[in-house]
Amino acid sequence: MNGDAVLRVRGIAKQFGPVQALADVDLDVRKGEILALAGENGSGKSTLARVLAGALRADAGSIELDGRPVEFARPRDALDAGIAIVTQELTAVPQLTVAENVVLPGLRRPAAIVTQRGFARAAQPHLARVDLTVSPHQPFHTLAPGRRELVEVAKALHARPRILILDEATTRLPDPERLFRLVEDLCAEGTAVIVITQRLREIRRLAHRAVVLRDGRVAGKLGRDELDDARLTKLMVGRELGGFYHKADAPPGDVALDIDRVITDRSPTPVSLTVRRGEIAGLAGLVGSGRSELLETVAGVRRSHGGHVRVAGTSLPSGSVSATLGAGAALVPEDRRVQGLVAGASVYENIAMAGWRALSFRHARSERARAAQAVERFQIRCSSVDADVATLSGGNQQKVVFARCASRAPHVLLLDEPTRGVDVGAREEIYRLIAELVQSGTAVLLASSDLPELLGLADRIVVMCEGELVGELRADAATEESIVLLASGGGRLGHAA
Amino acid sequence: MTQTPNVPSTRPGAGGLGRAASAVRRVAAQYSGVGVVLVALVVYLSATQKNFATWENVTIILSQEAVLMVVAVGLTFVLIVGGLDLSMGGMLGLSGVVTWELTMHGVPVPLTIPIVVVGGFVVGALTNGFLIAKLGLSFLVVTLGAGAAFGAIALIITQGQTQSLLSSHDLQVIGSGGIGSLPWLVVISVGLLVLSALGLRYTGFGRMVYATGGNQEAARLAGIDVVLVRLSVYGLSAAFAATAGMLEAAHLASADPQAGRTIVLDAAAAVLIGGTSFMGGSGTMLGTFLGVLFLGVLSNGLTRLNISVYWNGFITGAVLIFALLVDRLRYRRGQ
Repeated sequence: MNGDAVLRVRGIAKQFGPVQALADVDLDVRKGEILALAGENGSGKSTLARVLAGALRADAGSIELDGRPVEFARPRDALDAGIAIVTQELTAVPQLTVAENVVLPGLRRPAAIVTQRGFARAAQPHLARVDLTVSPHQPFHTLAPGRRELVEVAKALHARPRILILDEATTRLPDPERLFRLVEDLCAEGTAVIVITQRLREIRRLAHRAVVLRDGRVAGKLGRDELDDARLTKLMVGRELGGFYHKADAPPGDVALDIDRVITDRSPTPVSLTVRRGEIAGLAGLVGSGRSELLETVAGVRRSHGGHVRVAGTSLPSGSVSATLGAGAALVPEDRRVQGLVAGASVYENIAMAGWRALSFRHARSERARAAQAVERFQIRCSSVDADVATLSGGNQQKVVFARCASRAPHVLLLDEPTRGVDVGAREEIYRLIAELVQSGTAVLLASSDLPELLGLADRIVVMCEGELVGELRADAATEESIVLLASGGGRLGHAA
Repeated sequence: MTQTPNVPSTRPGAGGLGRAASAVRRVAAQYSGVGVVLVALVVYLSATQKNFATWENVTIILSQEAVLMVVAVGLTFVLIVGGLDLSMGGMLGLSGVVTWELTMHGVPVPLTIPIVVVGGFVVGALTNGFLIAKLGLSFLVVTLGAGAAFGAIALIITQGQTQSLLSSHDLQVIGSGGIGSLPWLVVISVGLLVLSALGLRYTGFGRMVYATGGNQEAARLAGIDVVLVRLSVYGLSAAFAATAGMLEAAHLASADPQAGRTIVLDAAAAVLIGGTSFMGGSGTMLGTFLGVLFLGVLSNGLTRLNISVYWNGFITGAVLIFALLVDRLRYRRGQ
């Protein structure tokens, strides 16, 4: 390997309460290299990134830049040293313009005279570099989700970093390939890039080397020739994965979910779809294709603009979550932090919540006992059922949402991106849970952007494009290519011709 | 001309006329809630009351609302940074009393003003600012408590009595004099508002206030010292309250320890009517100006129409909710 380390990290440790998030982590990053930092959720990747970016102080350890020891007390120190980070959660100011968000790290002196036009001028080249063609004067909150991440990347570029950290920056990008090319350009210019990801494909595609964290420690380091799925997964999980997707083969029963000519906020034309007991129907489509809207309409989170939804023969009123739950259909929403969980409340309260009635007493003891059973059954890793749900890792939070939905033995389970941001190990457990529920006669409608997941789990795959159902494929006949073709509108043109 | 002037262009440096037009449209859209009501009120009063639309009446309205305007300006900073300062009323009363104390001890007015303003800033920054920004205590509780304490100190000093300031000529000039027909109260309050508007829009500090209020973690990661920003803002709001207290004392030629009892609620109504969000990160001084103007025109108009002033609060409340509704409807349409 050529060149000395720009960044040398030795013996970093960080403890949150009783949890040892990082222990004795060493890391070297060389000039112009792309280093993948891999690991399951909760393995300490993001904590390490936050320490490097000055957002969090380590308990022990040292950081050297170009051989000189540095101390990052605040994010400003790291920025000044040339380290910029694109974090997993969006860190933009929604009310400010796109341009101002990009130049925010450059705002140093309170007495400086600034103008919006100046911001726009300074931001323009970076926006161009990330291929973002929006007005720099547009307020950030009016941007579509896929574009917001690009603003974050532009912001990092504006700081002209010598070391760029991308923390799961691609999970919400519709076209990560453009970002990959940008990363390669940057590293050709001498910038070192640390890519934090769980997606093996990205590691293979981009990285020169990989460092894998497990339980806050370095589990292993892999050179360029060793970056294959088997090695990476083994290091991340610490064991070989068996049958990754647990496919239930319950014989399909009668129709449990009947979506009859429903019109949603995103679907101008009626959508009809049925799912039988013991069946998993996959719902594929690009971001903005109307998948989430369909699921939310069925769940009663949104009002429908026409048509009927029947769960186990009961017709549901439009826009009533409680009626939908009462009929036996439950939604595991896309964004568990916003829609799924009450942060600050305990694990057991989050599980019991679905059973609460305004005019009845709660039985905390039985709720705790039932939650303890669920924790056991779903293998939720938490210190106790009284732990704040916000302290759990992403995968375990998702299992809490599952536990709540399953606690009411639903006829129909609506899953919206159930494994987004969930690590490989927890993923497998979630797949096993889905299989169990299906085996017991639940009908599952599964929306996912992860095509291997859809192909691995679903019995058939329904593809949406711009609010319409454009095709249905049997899982054994479908391929990633055929789904992508339909989802991007290709199949529909074929029909019309 | 090579450019069509009325096409709004997003390119920097595009046609000046087009930019002006789009700016007007933006302002019109942003303030449609309070704007509609204010325009309707002004048109109606101008048509029915022959002395309403006169220069004299305008200066009367503005000087009557000068104290409120200064408090509202300070409060706007706090709301944009995502907080609230309930102690401004107590600080207002205290500053009037301190002004009286200093005057009684023979301190000249040109020296009293900086002492009170800077003193207000330091006290606000070190009490509210330190406790809220540095220690992370709840702004509701801290400023409620601080306001009660400030008010109590004012009462202790004066033994609850309103003190006369008629002996100070300089203060009376500020309170009742003016440049030509323009009262000093108006010059000072509108001047402070304009300075604050420019400061918010065109200085690094102003943008840091918006960024901190909009998303504190984002601001922190962008290297902004959010603790210092929030601390300074609570200093600023106290300094504005102190200034307002001096203006009130000068205007009434007396120091009433309880002068600011209800002013924070009025100021909050004005600021919120002006479109500043309680959630932080957005709001403008122009909106605050319109909000204060609305309250002024309203009470002036009610008096002229011989309607009981007790209707004042009712209408203010209704307009506040109306402005919020318009805002929500516009937001929905934008989605």
